[in-house]
Amino acid sequence: MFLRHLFFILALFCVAAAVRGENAVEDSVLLNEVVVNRGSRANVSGLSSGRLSLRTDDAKMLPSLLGNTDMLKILELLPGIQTSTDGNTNLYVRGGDPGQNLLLYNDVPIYSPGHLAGIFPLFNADHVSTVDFLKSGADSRYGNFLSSVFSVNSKEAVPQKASLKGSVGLLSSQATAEWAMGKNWGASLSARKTYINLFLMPLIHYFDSSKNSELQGVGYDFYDFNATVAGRLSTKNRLTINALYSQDVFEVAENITNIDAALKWRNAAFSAKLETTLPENITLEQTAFYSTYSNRLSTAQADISINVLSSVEDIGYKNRLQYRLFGIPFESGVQYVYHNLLPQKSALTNADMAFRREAFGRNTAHDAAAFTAAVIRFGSKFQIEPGVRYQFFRSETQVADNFHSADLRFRAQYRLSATQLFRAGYSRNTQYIYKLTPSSVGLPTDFWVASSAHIRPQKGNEVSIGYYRSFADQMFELSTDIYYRNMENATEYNVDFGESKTTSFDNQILYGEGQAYGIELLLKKNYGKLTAWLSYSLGRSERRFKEINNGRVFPAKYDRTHDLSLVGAYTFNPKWDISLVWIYATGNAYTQPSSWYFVNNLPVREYAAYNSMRLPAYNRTDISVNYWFKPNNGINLSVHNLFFVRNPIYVFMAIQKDDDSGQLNVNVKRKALFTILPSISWRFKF
Amino acid sequence: MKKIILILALFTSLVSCNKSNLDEIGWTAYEPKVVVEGSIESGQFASVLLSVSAPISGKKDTATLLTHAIRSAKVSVSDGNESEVLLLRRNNNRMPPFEYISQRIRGEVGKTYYLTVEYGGKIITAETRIPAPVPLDDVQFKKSDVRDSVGYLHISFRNTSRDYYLVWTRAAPQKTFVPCLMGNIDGKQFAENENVSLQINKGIVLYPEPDYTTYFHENTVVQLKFSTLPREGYEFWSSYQNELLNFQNPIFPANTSLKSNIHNGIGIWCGYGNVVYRLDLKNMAEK
Repeated sequence: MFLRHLFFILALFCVAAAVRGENAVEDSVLLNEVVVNRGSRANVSGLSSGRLSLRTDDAKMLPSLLGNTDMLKILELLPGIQTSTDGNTNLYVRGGDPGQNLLLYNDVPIYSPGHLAGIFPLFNADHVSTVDFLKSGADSRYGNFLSSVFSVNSKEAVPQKASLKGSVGLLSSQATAEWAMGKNWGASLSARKTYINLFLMPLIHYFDSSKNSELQGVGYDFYDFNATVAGRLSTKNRLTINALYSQDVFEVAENITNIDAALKWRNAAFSAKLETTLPENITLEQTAFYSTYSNRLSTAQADISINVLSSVEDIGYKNRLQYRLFGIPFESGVQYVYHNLLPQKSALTNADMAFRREAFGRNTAHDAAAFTAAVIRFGSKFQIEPGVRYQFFRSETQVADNFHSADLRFRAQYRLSATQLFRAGYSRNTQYIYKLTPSSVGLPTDFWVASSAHIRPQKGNEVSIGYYRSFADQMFELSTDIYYRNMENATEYNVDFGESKTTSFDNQILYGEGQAYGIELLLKKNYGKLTAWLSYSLGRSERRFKEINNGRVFPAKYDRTHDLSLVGAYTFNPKWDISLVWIYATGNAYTQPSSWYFVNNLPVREYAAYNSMRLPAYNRTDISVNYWFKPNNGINLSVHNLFFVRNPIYVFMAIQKDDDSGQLNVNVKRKALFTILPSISWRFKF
Repeated sequence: MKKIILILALFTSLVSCNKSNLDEIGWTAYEPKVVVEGSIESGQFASVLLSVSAPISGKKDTATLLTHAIRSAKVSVSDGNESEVLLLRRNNNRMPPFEYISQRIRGEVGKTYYLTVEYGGKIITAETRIPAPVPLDDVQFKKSDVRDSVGYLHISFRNTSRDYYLVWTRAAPQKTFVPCLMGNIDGKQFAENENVSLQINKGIVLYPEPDYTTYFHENTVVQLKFSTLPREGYEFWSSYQNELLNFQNPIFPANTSLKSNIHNGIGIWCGYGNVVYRLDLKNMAEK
């Protein structure tokens, strides 16, 4: 209970910091998206066919707030990836939960929820080459997800000469250095750092030194590094080594309740990939990796202290062999990951008393998989892509438990003409490691759990069909998709439906079933001075839990019936360009009080059915103007939320007493994170 | 192209200017429910407050609030052998300011008590029992610095009950006992007979005078009530505390109604085994 109080204070300060910090960063980055296929004259590319590759070099040609291009946020402007609320770092795809996405960095699972309140993008775009996104019909080589795959890849090309590039913004700066090491080898190193603690907080305190200032005692710091070394061991062997490390610290010292709190989270990933070309055009790719994420909350008030630690650690090896059998291209491979998880290890002491908690303890697991897939063509118009993935998962907690699954993946494509095609896909997915998300506003309080005797694996099926067409020499492109997916063992966490004060988290997980279905539409103009697209998703995401709403169907929190994005960019000349993004989406579902009453002289609320109400529709317009001194060297002016729309991240009912009249005021209050946020940044390359 | 840009800009302006505001947030239909706040403490008369939950909208003056109080119910309490209809009296220190109290039946440790409320054609029932009280071994008033004028209470007791504990305090200007923040304790978290020491945060109140501070001032006399209570009481007061602390918390939102042991209504009917202490903090601080 006390823990929740502390989180509440943290959340308030986080919100206050983000709003008052006037920085807020990111958004207009979205404009970049237009570039996704700009200039492309390819035939139907099937942008929304369930697979997309987004190049950061293209994305960065367009402006971004404070120099931070957020590739994952850009993807939210496409059909099927729901618009999240301000400050939310989670990704929601086709009605799935955020923990059901597989996020990979150079093929290594990344468990980090991102930086504070989404103010800074999770990945340094200067170090990233592409982001591949699969929202349906995923390849058989991917496992442990139910919803989608985000694969972020750093630049692996060997640089020919030394260079330095980066950006300087109001809240942070970043730089990337690249250099050649001999003829066959090269390296790149990137670093980012915020100076909120160094410059911004002292400035805010200077202008608002009152003791009641919301930002008194608040601090935030983060930095990260990326490193890549790539080169050839021989003519047939290429080695790429990647490393990523980031650390965030958020601190609060609160005067009224005398609480000192610190939230620290850390993310590290390391991978070594060896690509070997074998005779007869067979290629073998092998990757060894290590990935870890941890967060720790430490709080203290007088003689009460609370510490909560969560972590996840993976050590693994995977390979894939690409070859031909009877002229048919195949891809096969094996994978092994050792998982080491520590979910919510907490310690509460009060006046030297250590409260015993029913600890879940450390959870280790062996995760082995084998897969194979093929692309079989029937003539020039029709092709199918069948695949199967077998997975064995052995979980070791207090009681060891074994799980098996054989997931089928299937895609089919029929090309009507050079400009039209149909696609269909089916995939069966199983997820043994998943995320529980207490936070809805971007604080990294998430933790990961493994399936075990106590925690059930999630399973799901998805089918989708799509039609794609291009017009006018590929200047315009239209794509439509229809999908349906179901989920077994969908989870709800932190809803306080049961006894939760002294038991471990696994007793607080509720299991139910879910389904999501919808239609997606994308109309895109690919080239010319004006590039633009219109993205629209109409869908439902529903859940049914025995313990919630008497077993009736209710909408998932991020069920957005309508989700509309309009993106446009206009290049006047090589020096000037302008971009605009407009997003309009159905509000989140939330739980609302239906009446209130007094207990012990204090008003309390009686709540209506879970997730039975909606926040106002999300409505945001961003605009951005670039002036380029020369290519890769320019100034960006951006305005996030141009029209001051207050998009609430949550709504609550407050009852306050007027001391003079004795009258009670019952008010609906809503908390918005970002309203209008202008910014300026300088991007450079030498 | 310029026309296209202009059209796009106008379109987005029109849509964006149609701002949503607070008034647009719809509310679920008002669902009035009968609310019971009842207690029977060891050695004390039974007490029951009755009201109807209020709608979520508009301002509430005192007169409006009074319309939600229930003053015409038949409230009876039984210990299984003896039954009594409770009498209504005014109590301006409570909200709602009307209290049904017993005249004969007083709480006895170990006994089970049955509550029946007849109102508006409904029969509302609940039952509870009074666990054996547990005395405190020690109470201290601690300040982080001798120059401070405020501090926290520290209590210690031997964990001899297999039930639950609740700490209440009454410190001016509070007129009634208020459950302390983090003052509800599950005895099963500790070994039997283990000596338990805890810091206590003062509970907050709105009526009759608001008091939101969690610490105690050294110039006050505090009454401290240490109760044992059955599970249904512990669950109710735990959910009550969750509601107070997290109703506007976006991370761990309190979006579930309070636990209740009332059939056909909401609220609590709970028995308490009490030990009450009077603490002069000035004297305690000077020691």
